[in-house]
Amino acid sequence: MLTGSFKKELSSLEAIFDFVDRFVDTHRLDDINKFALHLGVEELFANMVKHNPEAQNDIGITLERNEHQLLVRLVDTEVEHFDPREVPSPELHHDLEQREPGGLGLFLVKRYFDSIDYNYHGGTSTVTLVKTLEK
Amino acid sequence: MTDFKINHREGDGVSVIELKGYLDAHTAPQLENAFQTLLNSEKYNILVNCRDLSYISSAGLGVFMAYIEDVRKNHGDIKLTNLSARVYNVFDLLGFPLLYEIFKEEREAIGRFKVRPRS
Repeated sequence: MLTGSFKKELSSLEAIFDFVDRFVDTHRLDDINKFALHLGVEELFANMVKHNPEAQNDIGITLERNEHQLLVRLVDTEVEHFDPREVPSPELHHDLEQREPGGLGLFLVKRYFDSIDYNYHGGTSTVTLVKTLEK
Repeated sequence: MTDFKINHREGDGVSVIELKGYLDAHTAPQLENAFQTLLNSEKYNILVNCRDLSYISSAGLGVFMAYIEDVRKNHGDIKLTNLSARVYNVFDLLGFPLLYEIFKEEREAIGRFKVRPRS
């Protein structure tokens, strides 16, 4: 398990990707899983920056691997309730001019991971992603 | 390394933008600036070569969506080339191949712009 804490601003992303790479190297994950981890962590982190910008506490990130799964957990404290599972999927079948820009990131996360879980308690948002490892 | 770099060159009546590295929520404004600079110069035939683009997230895809309408209103286009399988997969999941022309090589794309290159 690897845990880190990152300043709530988009410029943290480079350090976050380095953090993920340490985990990838430790567990000898392939490039497909590395890409998914980068994408999942970035999209959730960027959402937390975007939806509760006034909260300045660091965001905690935990990466974990068990025998069959990868787990990604982001914890954001002193924030309003924001459940990423409730964000509607983008209308991908619409023509360009009818498309709305929102929801693309979480749509991708749902495609790269097998489950997304959300918990809100005492002003703390916790989002957990699970990806099953292919044998 | 997760650096991001943009190189811009002009050729055959087409503006070529080469992307390298990580196009994410922090680096996406650099691509916005590159597109905006081209539009300010009334350059609407834009080819984006993604040969060295190793990663893209929704923020990067959002930049393409933000500029395509303005570009097409001015009879131009944004065409993409040389996508890696992993980057293409992100475009594909979001249905972008229906909205953007994607080519294997620059040469194929350049010939498909409406204003043909000067000889």
